[in-house]
Amino acid sequence: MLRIENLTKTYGDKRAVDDLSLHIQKGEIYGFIGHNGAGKTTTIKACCGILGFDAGEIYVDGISIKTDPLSCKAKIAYIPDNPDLYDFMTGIKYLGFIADIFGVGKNERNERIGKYSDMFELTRDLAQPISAYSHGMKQKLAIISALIHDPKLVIMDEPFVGLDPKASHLLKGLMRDICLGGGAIFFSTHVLEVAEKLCDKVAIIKGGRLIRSGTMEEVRGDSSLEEVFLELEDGGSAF
Amino acid sequence: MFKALMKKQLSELMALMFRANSKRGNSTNTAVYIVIMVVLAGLMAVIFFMLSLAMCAPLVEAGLDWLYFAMTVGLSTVLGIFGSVFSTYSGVYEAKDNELLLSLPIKPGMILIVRLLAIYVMTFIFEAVALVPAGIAYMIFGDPGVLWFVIFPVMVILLPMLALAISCILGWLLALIIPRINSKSVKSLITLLISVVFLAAYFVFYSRINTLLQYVVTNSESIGETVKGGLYPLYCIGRAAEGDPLSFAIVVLFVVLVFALIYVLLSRNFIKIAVGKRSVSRARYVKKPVKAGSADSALLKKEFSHYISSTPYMLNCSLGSVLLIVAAVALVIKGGDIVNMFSEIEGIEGVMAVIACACVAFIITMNPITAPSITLEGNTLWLLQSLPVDGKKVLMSKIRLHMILTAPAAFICSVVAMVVLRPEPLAAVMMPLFSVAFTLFCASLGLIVNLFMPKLDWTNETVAVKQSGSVLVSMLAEYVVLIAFGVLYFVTVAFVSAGIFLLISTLSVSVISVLIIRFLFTKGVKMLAEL
Repeated sequence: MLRIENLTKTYGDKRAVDDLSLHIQKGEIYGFIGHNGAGKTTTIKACCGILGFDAGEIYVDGISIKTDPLSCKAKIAYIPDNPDLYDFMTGIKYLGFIADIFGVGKNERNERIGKYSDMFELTRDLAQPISAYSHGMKQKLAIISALIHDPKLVIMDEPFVGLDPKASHLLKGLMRDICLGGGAIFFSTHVLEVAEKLCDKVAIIKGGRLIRSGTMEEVRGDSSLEEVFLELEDGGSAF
Repeated sequence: MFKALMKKQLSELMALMFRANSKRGNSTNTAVYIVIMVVLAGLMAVIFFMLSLAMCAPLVEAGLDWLYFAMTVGLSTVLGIFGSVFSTYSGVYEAKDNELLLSLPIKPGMILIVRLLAIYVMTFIFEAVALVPAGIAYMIFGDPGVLWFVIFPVMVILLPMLALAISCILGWLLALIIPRINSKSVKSLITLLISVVFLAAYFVFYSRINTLLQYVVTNSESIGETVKGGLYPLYCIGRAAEGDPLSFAIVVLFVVLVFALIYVLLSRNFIKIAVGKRSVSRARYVKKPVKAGSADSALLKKEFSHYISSTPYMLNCSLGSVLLIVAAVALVIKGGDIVNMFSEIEGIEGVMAVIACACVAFIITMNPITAPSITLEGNTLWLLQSLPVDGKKVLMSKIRLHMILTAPAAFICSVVAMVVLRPEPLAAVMMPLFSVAFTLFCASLGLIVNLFMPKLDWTNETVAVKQSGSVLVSMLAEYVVLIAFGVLYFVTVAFVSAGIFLLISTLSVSVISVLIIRFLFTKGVKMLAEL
């Protein structure tokens, strides 16, 4: 579903991402772990077509993000770490806007808006301007808008930040449902316990380079993910 | 601490005006902006100098030097208030970093004083462009003593504090009222209405200045007595600016006391006003079928929603449309008189048609809707970059909004001018076409300039719109084009008819617009993606 091949991205002299390769297959929840500034957000933004890159390739469902970014974006849903949405719109207008951009039909959008806004208990607030929303409400709205076009691939940057426990729980369930439906999830997180319980596969990145990846069992072995992560962060052995 | 805060405040202002912001990391030339601002301030100063010249001689002759200063100070104070009231509201009470600064170990009063100082600089510039020319005019026609050369400069520095104090009160009122209105569009409309009324009053006053002057000179004694009796502070300010030391001392005391009182009141309530949640009635959503639409219409609706919900955007980019309608109505009422005034001159219809087009074009430039439109995306630009929508559509939606909000008013105004002036058939046809073509030129030019000069990390929308380098540059470029057309017409007027000239002008701006749009659709789309 998502294939990253030898991705390299530099900012001036600094290599934010260095020859990174990953393959996220259908039905997989893939966790992306690394310390602050390791290159997670840069990788994620490159996968979503927000950020260009210097070398390598990214394919979404077999389509190159370089040559056909619009087709790739049509299959993706992206949820950023800080949901800066259009404050001048109401929640429902924002959802309508996103649905229009993705060309979601009238029946589907009504059904999905109703389903997800009820699920995240946001329905009664949809008439409010987004400027009146709390961080958590904005995050919920970003999640609902991401699911409105039934995406094949959901890419999330720190999705659990700002969500209340109930919403976090719901999101984890939705992530699993998307994978069971043939989709894939690629997300970054600092919450290693969540990654350990939720992910089928995990990748650890340090200084822009991939230092370990594979199934959860392969990566952690007999230790916990936290122990492995800290050990790799200290030692930095390349994969 | 004060130094650090002041540095932050000034760097915020400077960064927005002088530095483009993009991942490409290019920067624009600071000197260009400084030149542009000096030119604009110079133009305003020239206008006020002419006005001061007209007022000074008769009033000085009548021995009413103080009344001359009372009037010029009054004018400059009104200008200063208009220039700073919305900046006070958005810069002091609505700044995005209020919560951040209040969480730091800084006294709220200090945050307030730093913000006020930044706005004082702006108010000072507004007042100085009116007061300094007034002083120069007085040096020409009046008889200033040695003391005047000491007192007047101090007055120029001091009086913006009075305007700032009044702006603080008005800004405070806005901060109390506006958040209670639930609909952002209604807020913007109310603010726009207030501004239009204010501007209309100012223009009416300005247009009748000669009649007023005549009235003042004829009735100078009675007016003088009335002002002395009923408007003593104004009399005192006039006397102080004239160079009277006692009045000067009273004015200094008065201004300092008023400002101190306002400052104390505001600093005590700053936290409450700046971050307090107001009780607004929460609209509850009731489920109903959501309509579907195309991506194009969604983008246009999004642009329109942003426009009507952003007070500074609407306020600073709607004046052209309002004035075009006002001009059309004025032409319907007074057009006959204007035509009669010049009816004796042979072939004047053509010249007047070109002048009318130039006037309409000048008013069109007052709607710089596209010029700050990319800057205004701010932190939400990621949405347009991550959604499966062609960059061409995104850019085009901004041009479409500009056209929808400006072209109809420009067209109507041109048609009215055409009907009133009755020029030759070709000129008559070209007048409305030129106005529409020039609107497209302004829309595309504003967008391309903003694409080259975006600034996405602004802290309040007023600064993003009012002090945006792209707005300044695009408006100045439009003026340069208009002046070039004007020069070209007067060089060729003897052998080129108005109709042909307007045809060439329309074709020229249309071709330039098409070239700009072509650039936007190719390199512009890439630039947008890389911001």
